[in-house]
Amino acid sequence: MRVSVLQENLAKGLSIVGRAVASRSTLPVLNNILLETEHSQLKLSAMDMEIAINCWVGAMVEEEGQITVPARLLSDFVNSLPKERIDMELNARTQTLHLRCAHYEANIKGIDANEFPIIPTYQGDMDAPSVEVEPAKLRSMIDQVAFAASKDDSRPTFTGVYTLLEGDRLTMVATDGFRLAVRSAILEEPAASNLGVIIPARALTELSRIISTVSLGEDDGVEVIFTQARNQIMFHLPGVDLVSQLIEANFPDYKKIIPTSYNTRAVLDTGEFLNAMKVADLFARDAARSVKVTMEPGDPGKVILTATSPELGDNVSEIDAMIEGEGMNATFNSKYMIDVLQIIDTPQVAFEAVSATRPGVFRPVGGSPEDEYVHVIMPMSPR
Amino acid sequence: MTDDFRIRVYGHAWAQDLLRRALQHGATRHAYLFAGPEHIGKTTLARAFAQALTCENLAGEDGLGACGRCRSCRLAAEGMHPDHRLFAPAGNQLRIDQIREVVREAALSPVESRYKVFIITEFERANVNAANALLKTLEEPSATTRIILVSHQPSGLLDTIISRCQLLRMRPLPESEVVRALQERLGLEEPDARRLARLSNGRIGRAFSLAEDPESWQSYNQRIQEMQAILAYSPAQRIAYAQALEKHKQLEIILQEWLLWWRDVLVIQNRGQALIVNQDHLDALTDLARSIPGPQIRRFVDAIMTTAAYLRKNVNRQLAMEALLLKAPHRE
Amino acid sequence: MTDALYLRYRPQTFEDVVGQKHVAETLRNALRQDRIGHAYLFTGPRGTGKTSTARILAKAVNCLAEDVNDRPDNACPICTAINQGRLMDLIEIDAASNTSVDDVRSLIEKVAFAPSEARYKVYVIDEVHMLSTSAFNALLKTLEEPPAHVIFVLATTEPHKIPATILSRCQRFDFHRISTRQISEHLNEIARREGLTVTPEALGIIARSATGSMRDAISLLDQVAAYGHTEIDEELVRDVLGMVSGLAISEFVDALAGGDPAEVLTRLHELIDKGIELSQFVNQLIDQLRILLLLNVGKDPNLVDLPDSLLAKAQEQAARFTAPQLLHTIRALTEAGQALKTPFAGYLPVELALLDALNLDGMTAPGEKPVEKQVSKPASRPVSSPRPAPRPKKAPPKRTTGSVPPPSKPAAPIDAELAGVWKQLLRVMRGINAKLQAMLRSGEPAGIQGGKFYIRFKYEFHRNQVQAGIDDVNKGLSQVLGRPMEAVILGENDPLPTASVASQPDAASAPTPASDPDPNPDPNPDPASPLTDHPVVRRALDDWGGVLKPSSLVD
Repeated sequence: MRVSVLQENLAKGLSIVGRAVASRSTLPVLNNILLETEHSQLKLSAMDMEIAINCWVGAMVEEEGQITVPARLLSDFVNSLPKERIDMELNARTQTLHLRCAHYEANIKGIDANEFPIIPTYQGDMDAPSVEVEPAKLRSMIDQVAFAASKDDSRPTFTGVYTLLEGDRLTMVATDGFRLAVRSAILEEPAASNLGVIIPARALTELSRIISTVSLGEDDGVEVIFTQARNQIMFHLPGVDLVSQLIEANFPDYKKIIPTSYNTRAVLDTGEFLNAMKVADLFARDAARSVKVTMEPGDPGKVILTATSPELGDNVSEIDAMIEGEGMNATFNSKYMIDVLQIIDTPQVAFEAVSATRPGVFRPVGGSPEDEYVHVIMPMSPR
Repeated sequence: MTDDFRIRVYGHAWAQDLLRRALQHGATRHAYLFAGPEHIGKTTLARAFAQALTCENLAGEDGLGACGRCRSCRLAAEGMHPDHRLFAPAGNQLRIDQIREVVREAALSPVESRYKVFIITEFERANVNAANALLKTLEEPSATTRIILVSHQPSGLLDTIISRCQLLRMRPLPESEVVRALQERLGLEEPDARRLARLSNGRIGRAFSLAEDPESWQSYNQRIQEMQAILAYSPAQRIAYAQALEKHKQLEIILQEWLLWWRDVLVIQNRGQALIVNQDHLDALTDLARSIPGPQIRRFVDAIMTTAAYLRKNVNRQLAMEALLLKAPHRE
Repeated sequence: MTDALYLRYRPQTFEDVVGQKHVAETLRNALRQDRIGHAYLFTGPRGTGKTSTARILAKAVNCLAEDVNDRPDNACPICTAINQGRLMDLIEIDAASNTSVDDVRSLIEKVAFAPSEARYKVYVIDEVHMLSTSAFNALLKTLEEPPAHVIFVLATTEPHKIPATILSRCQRFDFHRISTRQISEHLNEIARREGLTVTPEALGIIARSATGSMRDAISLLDQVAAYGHTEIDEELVRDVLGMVSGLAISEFVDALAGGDPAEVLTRLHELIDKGIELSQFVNQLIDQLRILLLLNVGKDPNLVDLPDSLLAKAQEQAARFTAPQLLHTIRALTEAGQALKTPFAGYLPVELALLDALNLDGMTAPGEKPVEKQVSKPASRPVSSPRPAPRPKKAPPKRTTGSVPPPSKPAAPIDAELAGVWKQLLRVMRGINAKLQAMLRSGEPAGIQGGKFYIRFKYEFHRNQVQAGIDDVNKGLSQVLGRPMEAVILGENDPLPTASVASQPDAASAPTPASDPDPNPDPNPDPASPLTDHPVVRRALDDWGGVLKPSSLVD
């Protein structure tokens, strides 16, 4: 292998794939990054047990080849180099990569590329169900859903985001057992088949980060490929692939959890609601974060938040609201309320409830009708 | 064949048959427990089974049926397969965060192959918390997950763990199998192979490491010489020797050697010459059998076993060894 | 089909749970009367259905079936979700890996959340005894005032480790160990549904090995079925469990009776080479020796549950050992079985146990053994295989083992024997001569040999008194022993006449004296001294915790 790349390009590529390098692994090769020449580009790949990232960097290839080298050393070395051309040459016999840039030279010992796991790579027509999603939309879907997944590894199902393809609708669902976030979007072109998979929430968070890092053109989309045969999902962007393992489990029947009706509905300013909730949280923190939410019909109607701390004191906030239906009193977890209010991107939000013991529902008001978002939070039994 | 990457398993033919049949019928279980004494090839069988589970063209009729030629088989043999995960105790025990790693990864789909195989060795070293953390996964892992627990002390495992696994009770190999393996794999001559087979007690791993490490063999002979010399030592000399020995890293192995040695003397006293382990020291053993009364030997054998138990309980090694050496039979 | 049998046959309704009718009925009634509690404690050995019942309860309280009698119907969406393991409102926690107070706090914090789709949120906390004290205390408050929508099921195999404060707040259900018969019936049903042919003997071995745990039993069946044989018989089950055939055990016992250590060790290694599971073998050998001991001391075939085909052979073997030999061997093997648990010494503990057992005679003080023979000489003996006494064969080992001082252990059973006779003598003497009996109680038995029973007294007064009534004592002795016996009175420091080696030829001239099995020569045991009182039997029972069936003692 003989190849030349610009320091800036290589450094950026390494920072992208670096997120997938295994931190602790029984497979030494997974602490390495795979370098591979491919169509006058240099492909960088890394993987841990959960995700894999491929990234392509423009290069001048004089001789094809491939090698894996320790990720940490390579990144640190490349980051220390001046913004100039880096020439790389592999000594195939010793599996050592020689790098030269300006006055710097290095030899890095590698591991044979054949030892590296096979990461599926985007190949145009992949003969697998796939859809294309607008990058910004995909990011907002992830940001509105992934945080609701559980962080407790002992129930792996809940650490994932259930991702469903039904005709022209793409839906993402996450729950930790006490709240549920559902976001769907209409696709420009319907998928060929319907399916559902559970993607580790971390993979989507990484994807969201990558979308925000890489520079994308106006028409660039993210292609989502369900490589069913391999039980993986691939997200393809120009120059980057992210491949994720799937969580193999039965996801709860989430539709049952979303109430189909309400007795009370409040529409109020998202920012005001969030702010009042943050204030209430100051007092709710050592009271199991329970905040009483009272909805009072009237003109104008009111939403009243009450938080009482046995030691610190108490707090009452009132927010003007349009209340539909009867008055209602229910207790909710302040952190969960803050989490959802923070990611609702419309100026107004609707909060719906059936009774004090049934789940409360948040919906953005006035957003695109295509982009449906529902967030359900279980109430707490009043103390 | 230079590119045959099959992981060879010596002995345990019934277990290999059972697993191969299950593979052929697509009827392998979620969870296995390979139990049996140390160094008889449990982990090797587990690795060979993992190799067969992920083989791309499972077909063979011998061993477990892995082809030994595909990429997957090669990675398996090299211990580099991304879907094979081997967990061993870190230090003295299997920690709960290791088990949580298994739980998390067991929920994920395999990277390259049909199955993701987890091998957890010395599972008796998992404390109660760690073992319990695995229960749910063991009971209902994902369809593509296979878990193989390996233990030489199944009596130390939770019953709830054992009953969730298909248990394969593995036993030491017959001497003839060990001899064959040593001849086949290391090209040893028959008498050498037989001596090692005897000494290793059907523990093939032990036989291999003895055979592959000429130094250990040499030092064994040397230690045997020393042990015979001790019999004539004064108490002060014995204590000095105990202090030298105490620093030895593999004290337990030394005690095991002594145990087998004195057991041989006892066996000769009971006219079981054909059964002794140290066949190549028959004369020395017979000599001891003639000159030292049986009960003395019997007591010393007990003392060796007690000392080994003490050492495992982390008592003062030096004191324990001194006490033991003072109990060794005396002979001018 | 790759799921384990015990998962496939996990009970789905209260009726499916084997052997726990009392629990099922109580829970059912509570459901009917709508009197569901908020905290249950399920206790009982592993594999008796605690977790399964907890899941069934979770289904029953949440099932959508109209008629409460139909719950759980295993058909409604809630039941289905639970059966598929995806109902969010059934939370199974293993206390063992969440023992800390923080774990319990985070659980309690979430208890306040309402159920997401079911009526009740059911928390099943398995192995709850593993919680730390502070974790229990944290749980206590919630158990006192649980939210209306929450049901706790605490399950444990060790109820004694649960604090009383927790116990008092739970409805407790004790799950029973499942009987061998119930297990065997259930296995039979599973075998039928799986299309497996399993012989009744094979089922019996599996059911017994499971020691009351249904899960263990089904797992064992599964293990055996994995071999893919069309018929599962005794032999296959034994192979899988690493057990040895009855015939091999019997042959091994023959070798033991033969008394040649080299032969015994050779046989042991033949078996090891065949790949037996040593601890299983030791247990089987102990079981067989136990049978021989019962035959040996009891002389009553009803004491053991053996088919006629095996009984004759067992009786013949029983006659080749003395009771102390059997006891000693059993005890040595029991210890070896324990030692096998640490892998350090490999098969060595078994070898040593066998050598110790065989060297018993060599290690016994010269005076004791003939005594044993004499005492146990019955008036009429069953014909045993004529064979040369085996002991003289041991020429070479004798040189080394002969010099062994008498260890305390093997002597113990003989003392116990003596003490037993003494105790019975005192009992019968009460009826013969009460005053003499009072005198006798000041003495102690010193030995029994050559038709003489030696009694030692400290004070001359007692000696004289007893000597005066010696005829009555002799009468009592023959009544106890069923044959003529002469009492000899000794002073405090009088030596017991050494049983000379010369007495041995005498003993050897009697048909197979060494193996004479009968230390209880009373052919019709005095109802006042039931067999269980016999020291040998008592010791035997203590040693392996066995039970003599009362019915068999009566006849």
